[in-house]
This record gives sequence, structure tokens and C-alpha cells, in this order.
Amino acid sequence: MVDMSTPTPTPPLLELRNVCKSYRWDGGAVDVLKNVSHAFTRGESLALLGPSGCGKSTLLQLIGTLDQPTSGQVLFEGVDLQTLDERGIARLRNRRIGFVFQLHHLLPQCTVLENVLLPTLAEPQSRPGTECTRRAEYLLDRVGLADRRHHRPGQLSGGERQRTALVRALINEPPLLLADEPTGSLDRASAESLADLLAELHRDNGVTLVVATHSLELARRMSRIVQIRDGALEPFRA
Amino acid sequence: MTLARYILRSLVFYRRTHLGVFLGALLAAAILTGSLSVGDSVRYSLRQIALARLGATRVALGPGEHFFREQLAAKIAAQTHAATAPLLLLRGTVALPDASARAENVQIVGVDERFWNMGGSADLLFGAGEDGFAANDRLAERLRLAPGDPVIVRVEEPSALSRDAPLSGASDASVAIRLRLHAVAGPKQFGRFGLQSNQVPPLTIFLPLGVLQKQIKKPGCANVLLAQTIEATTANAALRKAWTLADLNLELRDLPGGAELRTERVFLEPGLAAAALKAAPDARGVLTYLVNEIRLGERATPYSMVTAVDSAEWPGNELAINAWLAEDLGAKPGDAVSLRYYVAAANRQLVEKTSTFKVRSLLPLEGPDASWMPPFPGLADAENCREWEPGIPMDMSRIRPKDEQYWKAFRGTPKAFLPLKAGQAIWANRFGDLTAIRYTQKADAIEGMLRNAIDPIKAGLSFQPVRELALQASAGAQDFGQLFVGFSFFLVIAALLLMAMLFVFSLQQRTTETGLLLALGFSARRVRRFLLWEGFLIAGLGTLAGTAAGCLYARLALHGLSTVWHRAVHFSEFSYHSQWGTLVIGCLAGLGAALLATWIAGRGQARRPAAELLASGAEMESAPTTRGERWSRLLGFLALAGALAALALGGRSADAFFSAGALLLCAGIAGCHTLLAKLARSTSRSGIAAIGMRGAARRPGRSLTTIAVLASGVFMVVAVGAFRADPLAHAQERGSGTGGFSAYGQVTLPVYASLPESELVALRVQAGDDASCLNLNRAQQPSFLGVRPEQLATRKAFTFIAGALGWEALHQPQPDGAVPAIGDEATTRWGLGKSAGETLSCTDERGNPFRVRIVGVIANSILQGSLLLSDDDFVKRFPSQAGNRAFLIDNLSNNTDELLKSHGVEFVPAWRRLAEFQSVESSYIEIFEALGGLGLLLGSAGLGIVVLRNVSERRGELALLLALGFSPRAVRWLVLSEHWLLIALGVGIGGLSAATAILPSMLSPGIHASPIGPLATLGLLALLGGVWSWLAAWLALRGPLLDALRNE
Repeated sequence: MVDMSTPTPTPPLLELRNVCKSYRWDGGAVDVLKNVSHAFTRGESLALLGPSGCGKSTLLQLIGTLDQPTSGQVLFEGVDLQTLDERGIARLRNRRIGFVFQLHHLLPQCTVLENVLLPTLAEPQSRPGTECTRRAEYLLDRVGLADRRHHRPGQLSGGERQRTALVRALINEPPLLLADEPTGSLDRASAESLADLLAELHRDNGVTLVVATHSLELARRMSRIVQIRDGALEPFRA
Repeated sequence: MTLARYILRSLVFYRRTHLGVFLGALLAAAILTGSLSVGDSVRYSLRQIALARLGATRVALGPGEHFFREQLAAKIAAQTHAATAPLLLLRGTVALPDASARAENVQIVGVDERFWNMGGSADLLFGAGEDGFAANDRLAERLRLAPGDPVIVRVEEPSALSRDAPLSGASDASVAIRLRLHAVAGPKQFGRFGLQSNQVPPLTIFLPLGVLQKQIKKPGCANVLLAQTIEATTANAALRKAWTLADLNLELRDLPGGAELRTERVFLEPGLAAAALKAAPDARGVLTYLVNEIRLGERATPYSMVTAVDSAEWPGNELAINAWLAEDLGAKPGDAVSLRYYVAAANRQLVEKTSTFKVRSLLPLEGPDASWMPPFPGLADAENCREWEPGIPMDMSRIRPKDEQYWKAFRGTPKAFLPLKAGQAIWANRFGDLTAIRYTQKADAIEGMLRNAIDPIKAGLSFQPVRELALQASAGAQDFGQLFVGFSFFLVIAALLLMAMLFVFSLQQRTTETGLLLALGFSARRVRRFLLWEGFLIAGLGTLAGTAAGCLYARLALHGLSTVWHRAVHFSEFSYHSQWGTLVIGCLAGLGAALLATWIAGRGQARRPAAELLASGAEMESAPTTRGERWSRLLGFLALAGALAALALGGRSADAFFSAGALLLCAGIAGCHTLLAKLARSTSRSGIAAIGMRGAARRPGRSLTTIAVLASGVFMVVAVGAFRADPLAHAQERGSGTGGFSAYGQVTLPVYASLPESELVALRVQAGDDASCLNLNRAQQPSFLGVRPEQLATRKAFTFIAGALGWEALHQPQPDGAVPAIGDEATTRWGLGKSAGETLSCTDERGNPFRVRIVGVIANSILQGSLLLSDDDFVKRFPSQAGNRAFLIDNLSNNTDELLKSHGVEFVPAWRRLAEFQSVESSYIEIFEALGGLGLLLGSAGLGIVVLRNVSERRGELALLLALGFSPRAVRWLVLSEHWLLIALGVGIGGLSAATAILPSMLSPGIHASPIGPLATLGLLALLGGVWSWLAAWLALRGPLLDALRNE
């Protein structure tokens, strides 16, 4: 008989189990991540701190399925990513994960609106085009780029480009948003503005936000801060 | 946002980058389409030339051994309801009266208005008078004739009996006709008329049929009949109804007690005779011969007719003599008398033989009965013995007054009779063994029987579908489309490689975009599809534009063929013509090639992790791996072993040459891969150049592509260029293409005299389609040369590349009855499409098919264009081709020289004749070199682009060197050393592969090629590559390089 009084525990959105990542070459190897285990709950925001080369971006890429661990497991919504084929990984990345890079990587040949809509092309049949466009325009309006939607990236400021990249990451309403040094290439004002925006979007949309950053100011806006030291993930101690 | 919109945006944004890809596709498609259009144009032009030379003619009868009645034309026209035109078609010389200009081997055509109607032209001889003639434009141009200009035309007076036959009369009967030019016949006035498949129109004069008939003493006769009837079978059926005995030069005349069938050819052709004997049960054969002497002891009677008759039923060693002879010799029954007579031996030599017979009986001489004597030329019409000109040596001093009296009283009445079989045993020859057939019925009764028994078609009067054959010849012509595709092959490959390389560059420029798409959740396959669609669109647009540009390429190629490469087509002119099907095929081929190149270039994209692509930007390619090095080493060894095996087993065949060359190239390129891997790992050497060379290993794909393009281009151009032969080299050697002969002579009027073998080799000639490379049409019925093989064998003339027996093979009977023949390589392989051991079907002069087997092939020579048969086989198939028309000359005495000149000889130095044939091959090589050179230019331009690209990618790195204190010169040297290494490797591998692959060919006898040309080409290419890379390095390194460091 099932105990109805005890709710079934919902799995964490993302779980890392003993994840290791090493880079090897003819002459030797370097271990970047060592037995990292961590669970990311839905709706939390987390900042990854650490010096350059400590493995922040590597961890983010493992979480974002852009890379694979040398050993260990990455579970997304309870599914081991290693069990997914290339197509399944791509689908997961497209539908469930949004990524903001330090460099915006906007396509110079496309307008702001087209750049934002780019992820919808991966599976164009999954949602009607008009719905996507409406959402893109709504998000652009929210980040203050409504009047810039037909501009090219070359006509935008650095902050505007990064905001466009942020909107692009959110176009498919992913539950997980990853940001790798999102303010790293911005001036102070733009960086603060983007940090505000990230916090606001996290709050309003309820996405799980993982930010890798050097900036303590940006990190402090997250609900949790962890750091990578000697390849291991540990709570941040100021 | 849609996929189409994304691709369109990318196309527009990266338009400059895509321009190179577009141009590469355009160039490839233009070359392919243009090359195929060249084929269309040549085929179309040859077809037009074929139609222009035949007018409305569909089938033609002759020219053969028979002169038939001109009225046959009207009868056949009436039966077939189609136009016909009788002609007299002969060969002769035309000279200006002051001998300042002369044309040999001119087609002399006697025509009437029906001929001009057949050509769709007005009668050019209307109002020309007895001495007016029309010349075709080619002859008028050659002799610079203007209307009213006089010429002397010399033509052989045809003889019904082959002049090779004994008793064929005087051998040098030619007629000189003085004429004045009345009109010039251009292409639209049927001036291109000719019955042989050749794109070059013959030199021709047209004169009234009646005039020519009168001059050659053939009134009312023709030897060619053109007909507009569609089918040869229809025309032949009409001929079977319309022919008469006169059309086969037969005469049926009444004699006391019956009738006799005889021929002005003296000997009844064996096939005809057999049919005529079967025509009536009472037919009796007759063979009358001129004997030099009938002797009994010391008494002899000179020059007498002796007849062998079927009705003489007694033993073969007995004869009956008439009373006059019995009295002259004092002979009586039982006496043995000897007959001395000439018989034809080899090479038209006459050999005097003697046979002895016993006198069986004496016949009374009741009166003259010269009917037994056939119409021997020079005898039949002679009034007295002094007028005899039988064409055999005669000692006129032996003719006594009583002989003269006998001739006057009894003319050719035979003085003796033999049984037919006995006569045939000693006098039969290749022209026949009967001079008449006698019947007991009168001519009126016999004629119908004879017409039923004799088939004129089998006797040599048959229509041939000349239009169909001409169209077949033009359709089977050398495919210039394929030829130009082959010539342009490297240019196409270079364009495609350049296109692929530029496409790769554009993709590398967008590596982060690829990484981003992967990061956004696009599958790698979908990303590749995006990029490839973009490439396909550019390639498609380029191909479409290239198809249009192909017309321009074709026109340029045709212009080249009519100017700088005119020798390749023997001065023919072609008009541009392209078929839609060809354009579509060219377009699809270009598109396919461009898409393939794009796919190969783009298929490797999006294979790396997105993070790596996003992080590394354009610096994606890594040095060769150890595993790759192992594979390349294995591949290199295998390719090298394969090349050596191909060279060892394949000899000097073209297949072995290309296989070995390609494998050596592969081995070289694989070796380069290994070298680049070693350079990448190298730490031992230092210095600017060493660092620069190591730079070549940073992008092994790019470096290997550069090396491969250069090596392949060098290989093709150098290897092919090495086959440019020098006709003067070793020309005096017997084994060379000249056979060691000093000259080749052709006479317009055949030479019947026996010429000294030490001075020349005489050849019989049966005209046919020129099967040399000078004729673009596929020879349907090749021309034949008759030769006595031992004359060439003793001289060890020419070099055999197939056929172990050499010239002796011409005497070897073939088990299947085929006639053995020898031809040179160009004739057998390209002109006829045959190789040693294969057979081809031909037709003898009577229209009967026979098979010819190629029993030997000689290296390219002055004998190109014809097949050589032994003299014996030649005369069996072409008995009416008497005398010699061609000569391979060593050294001529004055007498021989004078004799040949009197027959209208045209001497060509042997080396010049060989050079003329080789000029076609040389022109092909020139075209290949020109187009291959363009390809190399494109390849070396690609090298320049690689240099520019490499340097621009590494500007920061080079700026760092400047910042570290390196001089600008040292930095430039660093860049150049890397790229000059690529040039050296490319040129070296290409040159070495070519040299190794062609070595067996170069060492073969009969091939004499100079290494200077290929070496010069190599040097030029290396220089060109060096200049390109220097220019690119200079362009890339100019300006403030240190800014690049600051921008970093």
C-alpha cells in the first residue's frame, strides 16, 4: 500500500555524480575536475567562482552538454546524459538549456530578431513560427531592445549584444540557463545592467540559473555561491 | 526566421568570401559545357561538310573498274522517280601553261546539268563552250586562277584492260586538255563535291561530260552515277532492270553459226565468265593469246595468235596448225613445235616461257577469221605490223614480209588451236582465263539468257549508300568534346580544388558560428546541412552562370582550332553549334562536380565539440597525428609498389603510364604527409627557414592540397609535353618513323614500268578514306597500299610495336581467310579503332566484302593513313588498280627521277611528311599544355591565396616576431620558406613521377623526344609559384604589422 502522505521526491533539475574531467596528450594529462558531485534544484540560482583555468567553463560545458565528462554521470531531470544519442543531446540542449557566453556570438549576417529566433530553427516544426516571433518580440521588449530588433549586431553596443544573446538563450523557455562570464567583456555599467536583468529574468521566469564568473558582485546576486578549488566544488568562503 | 532566410542572409553577408567559390564553379561548368560544345560544333561542322560534298546525293555507283553507259542514269531515274547524275570522275594534274604553278592529284569531273541540279546549284558550265571549265574555290586559290585563265589538264586515258595485264597496250597513254576557267565553284555551288569522307575538300575541276568523254575516248560513258534514291537496295533493284551488257564492257556479237561474248577488257572477268558459261548449255570458252614465236627446229614464225578452244577434244599436248603455219615451219602431223610467249610475273615483270606441243593435224586456211582475236589494245586496230603496240617487248626486225602479208590478208586469224584446258594452264592470269565465250544461238536469243545469268551487282556495278556512310563517318569522328574535356581536365580539377579550398576557408572563417549552432541545440548533421546548402546554392549559381559562359569557352576553343591549333584539325574550319542536351549534360556535370567538391570540403564541419569550436575560432586544424602518419606511410609504400608493378608489367602502354604516374603521385603525396608530420614534431633544427618549414605542418590539409594540385599539374603537363616528338631526330635511321627513306612520292598517273628496287620501294594504291589523324572523320573504307614485304624487310624499315613476324606477316595466310595487313599505330588505333589481331570488314573493288586482319602495327610513320597489304593480296582484291602510285624513295638516279616526273610525281621529304602527321599530335599536346598551363596558373594562384590566408591568420604571430627583434626581411623569409617548401615538394613530386612513368616509353625504339621542353616547363612552373608566393607574402606583410599585436 502506498503511503499517500509522503510526497514522491522530485528529482533535482541537474545532478552531477562523481564527475571527473581530464585533458590528456602524448606527454601527460591534467585533471581539471575531480569527483564533482552536486545537485541543482529547480529555480535556484548559483554562481561558480574561481580563478582562471580552475574549471568553471569546463563544468558549465559539461552541464550544458557541450562536452562530456571523462568519468562520472551528469543527470538532467533524472536522465543520464550518457544514455542519449547525439540527436537526443542536441534536442535537450535546444529545448531545455539556454546558454549565454562571454562573447555574444551573434551572427553578423542576421538581425537582432533573427539572432534571437535562431534556436527555433533547430526544430522548426515543434512550435509555430508566429508564436516564436511573438515571444522574441516580448523578450526583446523586456530587455529594452524592442526598437533595435531589425538592427544588425554590428550596430549594437556591447551590452545590447549581450542582452540579445540572453534573449536568444531564453527563446525556447529552457528550465536551465547557463551563463559563462556573461559580463566579462562588458563595461561596469553594462555589466551591472546585465546582472540586474539576469536576476530579474531568473526571478520572473523561475529558471535555474548557473553563472560562471570572476565577478563577486554578479555572484552575490545569486542564491548560492560555490567555488572550484583543486578540481573540487566547495562552498564559497569569502 | 526560416532556413532559407538564414542561408540567404549568409549568402549576402559573406558574398565576398563566396565570390571565389562562385567563380570556381563557374569556371568548372564553363570548361565542361564549353568542351562538350566544341564536340557538338565539330560534329555539326563535319556533318555539314559531308552534306555539302554530296548535295542531294544519297547513293552512288562507282568509281570502279567499269565505264558504263551514260544512259543508265536516265533509265534508273525513270524507274526510281528520283534524280540521277552520270559523271566521269578521274584523277589528273592541272598546271598553268607556263608551268609556273601546278596541282597534283586533282579530281577531274565530267558533268552535265544533272550534276549541278544534284548540288542545288545553277549550271556553272552553261555557255562555257568546249574549252570552258569550272574550278572549285580551293583549286582556284591554289593556282590563283581568274576567269579566262588557261590551264593544261593531264589525265590518264582509261584502259578497259588493266595495264598490269600482259598485252594491255601502251602504258603511258595520257591526254592533255587545254581549258579556260569559266567559273569558280564555291561551297554553295557544289564546289566541295567528293565521294570520300574527309573534311578537307579535294582539288577539283568540272568540265562538260561530253568534252571529257571525247578526250579520253569514252563517248557516251560514265564511271560514277549519283542518285537521289533513298535506299541503295532500291537503286540496285532499278539497276538490275536497267543494265545492259555494255555497262559491264561486254559485247555480244553475231558470228556465222552463232554468237560470241567478248569484252574490251580482253580477258573476261572470272566471275562474269562463270555466269556467262552457265547462261546457255552450249556455251564454249575461248582463250586467244599472242605468242612470240612458234618454232620447229631451225624455222620459226614470229608473233602469232594461238587460240585455245573448248571444242578441241584431244589430248592437252597436241595442237592443230593452219596450212600457212605448216608451210612456214615445214611442219607435219607428229612434229613437236614449241610456243614461246610472255606471262605476267610479280611486279609486272614479263617472263618468257616455252611450251612444246605435238602437231595433231593441219587445218585448211579457208579465209580470214579474225573473230577469234580479242580486242588487244595496240593490235586489234593496227593496219599493219609496224603499227603494233601490244605493250610487250617486240623485236620488229623479226617480222618478215610474209608475216606482214598474213596480217593484211588474215589479220589476227589464229595459226594454231589448242584444247582450252591446255591453253588456260599456260596463259590464265589474274584478269581471267577466257577471252570469249561462243554460243550456237544468235545474239538476240542469248542476250536475255545472259542478263538473267549475270548479276551486275556482283560484277561490280553496285550503288553504295554514300550519304549514310558519310554521316556515319562524321558521327564516328574524333570526339572533340571528349578530347577537350580531357585537355581541360586539369583546368577543371584546379578550378574545383580552388573552389573547395575557398569554401573551406569560408567555413573556417565561420567556425564559431558552427560552434554556436551546435551549442544552441542544432545537431551536427543539421549544421552541416545548413552549410552545405549554402555551398550548393553558390555552386549552383556558379554552374548556371558557367553554362552560359561555356558558349564563350567553346567559341574561344574553336577560334584556337582555326588559328593557333589549326594543325590539330588539318586547317578545317568549324562553326559554333551547341545542342540543348549538351548544355544540360555540361551543366549537370559541372553542378555534380561542384556539389561534390563542396560536399567534400564541408562534410568535415561540425565534427568537433561546440566548446572547442567556440573557443578556438579559425585555428582549428591540427598537425598530423601519429596514426595518420602511419597510414600515410603504408599508403605511400603500397602506391610505390603498385607504380613499380605497373611499369614492370604494363610496358609502354598508355594505361600503364597513367596508372604508374597516378600511383607515384599518390606515393609522393603520402610521403609529404609523413614529412609534414615529422616537421611538426621536429625540434632539432632551428633558424628562420626551419621554423618556416615547420609552419607548413600546421595545416596539413591545406599544405597537402597545395602540393597535390601542383604535383598533379606538373605531372600532366611535363609528361604529356615529353611526347612532343622531333621529326628530324634520327630521321635517317631505318627504325624511325621515316623508315630511313629520304622522300615519299605520289604520282598522278600510275607508273607501270618496273623501277630499280635499290632506289625505291614502289607501292600500289587503292584510294579510300584517309585513316590518318589528318582526317577527322572515322574512315569507313580505308585506303590500301600494296607492297612487296621483302623490300621493307630487307631494309629493316620502320619499327614494329606489335607483330613478331614483322613484314613477313603479310605473307602468312590467316586460318579464317582474312587478308593480313599492317598499319601504323595512329591508323590502326585512332583512324580505325583497331589493335593487332583484330579484323575489320572492307569491300573489294567489285563490291564484295572481305575481312582484313591487323597482323602488325608499326610505330607512327610516314605510312599513316593506309593499311599495307602484300602485293599479291592487293591485286587479288583490286585487280584494276594497275601500276604504282606511291613510292618510298631512298636515292633516285636521273632516269628514275625523270620517269617519275613525267608521271606527275609530287615528292615530299620523308621527315616533312612525318612532321605533318606529328603536327596533329603536337597540336593536341599544345592544346593540352595551354589548358593544363592555365590550370597550373590557377593552381599557383591558389598557392598565392594560401599564402595570403596563412599570413593573415598569423599576423599576430608574425608581429610578435617583429616585436622580438626579427627584421621584416627575416619574417618574409620565414613565410616564403614555408611556401617554397610546398612548391618544391609539388614540382619535385610531379616532375619525378612524370619522369619515372614515361621512362619506359622514352627508351622505346621509334620514340625520340627531347627532355629540354619538360625541364623548361618545370623551371617555369617553379618560378611562377615562387613569384606568386612572394607577391602574396609581400601583400600580406605590408602595412604596420605591429598593429596586429596591439589588436590582439
